[in-house]
Amino acid sequence: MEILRRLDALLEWLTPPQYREDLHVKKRVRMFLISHMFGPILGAPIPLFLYIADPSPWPHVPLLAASIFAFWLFPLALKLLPNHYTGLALVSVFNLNFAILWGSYHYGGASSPFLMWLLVMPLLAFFYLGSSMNTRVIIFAQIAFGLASFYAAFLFENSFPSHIHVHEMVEIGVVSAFCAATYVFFMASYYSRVVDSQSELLKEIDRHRGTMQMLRASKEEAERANGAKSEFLAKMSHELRTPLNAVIGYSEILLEDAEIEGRGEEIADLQKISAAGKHLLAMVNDILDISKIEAGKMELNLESVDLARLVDEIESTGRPLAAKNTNAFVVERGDNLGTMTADATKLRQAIFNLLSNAAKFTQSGEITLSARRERRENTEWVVISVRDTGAGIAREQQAHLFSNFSQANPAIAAKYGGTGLGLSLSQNLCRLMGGWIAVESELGKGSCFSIHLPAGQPAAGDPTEDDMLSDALADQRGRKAGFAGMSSVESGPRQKILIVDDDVVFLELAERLLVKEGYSPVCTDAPESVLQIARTVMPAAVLVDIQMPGLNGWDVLDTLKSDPTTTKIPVFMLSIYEERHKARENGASGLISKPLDVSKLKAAMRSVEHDQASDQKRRAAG
Amino acid sequence: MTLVLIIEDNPINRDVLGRRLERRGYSIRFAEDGPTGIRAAGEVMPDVILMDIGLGEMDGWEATRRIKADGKTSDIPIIALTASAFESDRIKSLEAGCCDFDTKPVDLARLLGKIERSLGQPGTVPAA
Repeated sequence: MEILRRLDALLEWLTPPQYREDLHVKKRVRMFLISHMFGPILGAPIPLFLYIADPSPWPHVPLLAASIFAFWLFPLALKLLPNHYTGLALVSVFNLNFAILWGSYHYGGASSPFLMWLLVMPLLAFFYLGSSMNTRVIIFAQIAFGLASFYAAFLFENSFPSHIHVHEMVEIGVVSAFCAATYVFFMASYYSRVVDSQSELLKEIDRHRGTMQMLRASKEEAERANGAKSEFLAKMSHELRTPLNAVIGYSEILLEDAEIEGRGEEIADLQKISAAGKHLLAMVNDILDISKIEAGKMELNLESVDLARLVDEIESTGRPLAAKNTNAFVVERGDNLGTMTADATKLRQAIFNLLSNAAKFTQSGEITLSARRERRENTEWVVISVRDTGAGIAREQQAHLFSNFSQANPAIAAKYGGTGLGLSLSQNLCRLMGGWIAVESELGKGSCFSIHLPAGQPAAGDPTEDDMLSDALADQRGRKAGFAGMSSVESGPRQKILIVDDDVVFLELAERLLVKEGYSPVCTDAPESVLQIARTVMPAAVLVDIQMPGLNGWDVLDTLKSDPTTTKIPVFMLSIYEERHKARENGASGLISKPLDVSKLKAAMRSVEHDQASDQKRRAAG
Repeated sequence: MTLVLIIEDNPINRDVLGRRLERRGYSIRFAEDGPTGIRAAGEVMPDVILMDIGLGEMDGWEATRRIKADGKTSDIPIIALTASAFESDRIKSLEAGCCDFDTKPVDLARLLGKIERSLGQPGTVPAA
């Protein structure tokens, strides 16, 4: 076994690297090496015997021996000339042809016991070279040429030379036949093994194909089911709103009547009906929103929002909310709040959700709403926080806060009510607008939820100015690319990178990695929302995981590329497989293999920037 | 007294909305589908129309377009009401010529605000 292992290592060493990739080619080259290594051993008894038996062996026996042992040189020749495999194989076959006919001519002529080796020749040739038409023609021509020369020599001399009598060659004849048969035996057994393993491989491929089909079918089924689910939820919530209209409407009418007529007991009951109806409506609305987000149908209505005014508005509606549990309500306004680009309704919805949570879980405490502007690496951000002095959330429960239908613990649902959808929905809304909600909390001391949103890109400004700016930027980046790699920290603005992956663990990892490397990452696990997010954030690049349930990476790529606002954003596919070619063909700027290697990402980004810079120069020149 | 025309196919919605507005001092007329609504608009010349979008054969957008296309009624502000809450519905309503949009079930205080605002700007030009 040890010998076999060493032999295998030797064969591996002798096989030129370019022939190791393709299994088929590799087999052929190995066959070439094996037969050249062992062929001379099986052929050696013949010249040895002849040398002893022949009274005057010079020069035909040494020449025969030289021809046979020359085969040992071929593996080394291949090692030295790895690009000339076909040529070497043809020379080898020619040499074999020569050795057989030379030996046969000198010892026995047409009735030589060595002539049978001729059968090995085409067998070996096809092993080495495959059975293409060219190979067939060349090998057949070699046989024909060899035999023609053999016969011509006979005609010329009018006889075959007779160094020893044919009847003196019985032993070597038997040995020769045995060696030839052994040679063919091994070759044939090796060949049949190859055929067997190939058919096994084909069966395996068939099996895999079957599995693939099943997987694809079940994936489609799952997608259909998910789509149907979202549609069902959207429809259901729509249908539920109509009867709720009646419940809320009539209970309010009755409530008004009761108030006018002073029927105290009824008022309390009617208030309960009305409150329950409104609560149910809030839940239905949340469910509708979440199913819209899941189905990728949540639309943003981006507009310029005056932050100071938004805070005023929220203050006036938030105050009675906070007062419910006798909480003090404090509003802190940062300097120069200015405006931001956002969907005002959705932003208000998210802030309200945080406020009503704070009010719900704080009793006779303080609730603080604060809004401020922050500059982070040349990007303007707006941070709106809601701080309370309420119950607080344990660290281990904070992680689940933003999942659907999740409340810190079941007892809370019983005590405070609520759907457990609010935070998840608010988080999703903020993600859609290119930001996120962060939480800090300590049990018993209170919580602080902060909405972080980019203040927004300057809306379509003066085009010439923009062009000039981007030109200058591209120029600067181009220069930087010249000595990139020397410095890992870029001094320019933090580039926003949008990462799309269903794997939340990967997202967290990538986020941390990119922040460390000076990028400003925006992560999402909802491929349906990518277009919306990309439009809002306008990232420097998008990284898309290929394998995602529902909308896969190729679909996302397609969506981004077919939208005029996002078509120019470079997209990199994230994959554990090598699908570089497909990525390029589909319009991606490249493929980055998982696990994420930031140096590779940077190199890819640089090449894209470089392309863009030269592209812009070309445009400027032309 | 402000005259409100409610175009709504669901009798319960019609009733509850009508009664609540009446209590707030509005005078109410009803229509239960698009064609009737268009005719009623021309006949009663309301101060404002509340238009349900999910009407029967002719939807609220189409009815709005027709009311807006008629020189006689084109100045009447129309507020779209729908139980579906998609952003695209809001945009479609504004495009059809509505001056505002609200979702059902109605939040009465909010709707009243919208009605009053629409009255303050007669002959509303549809938002772009």
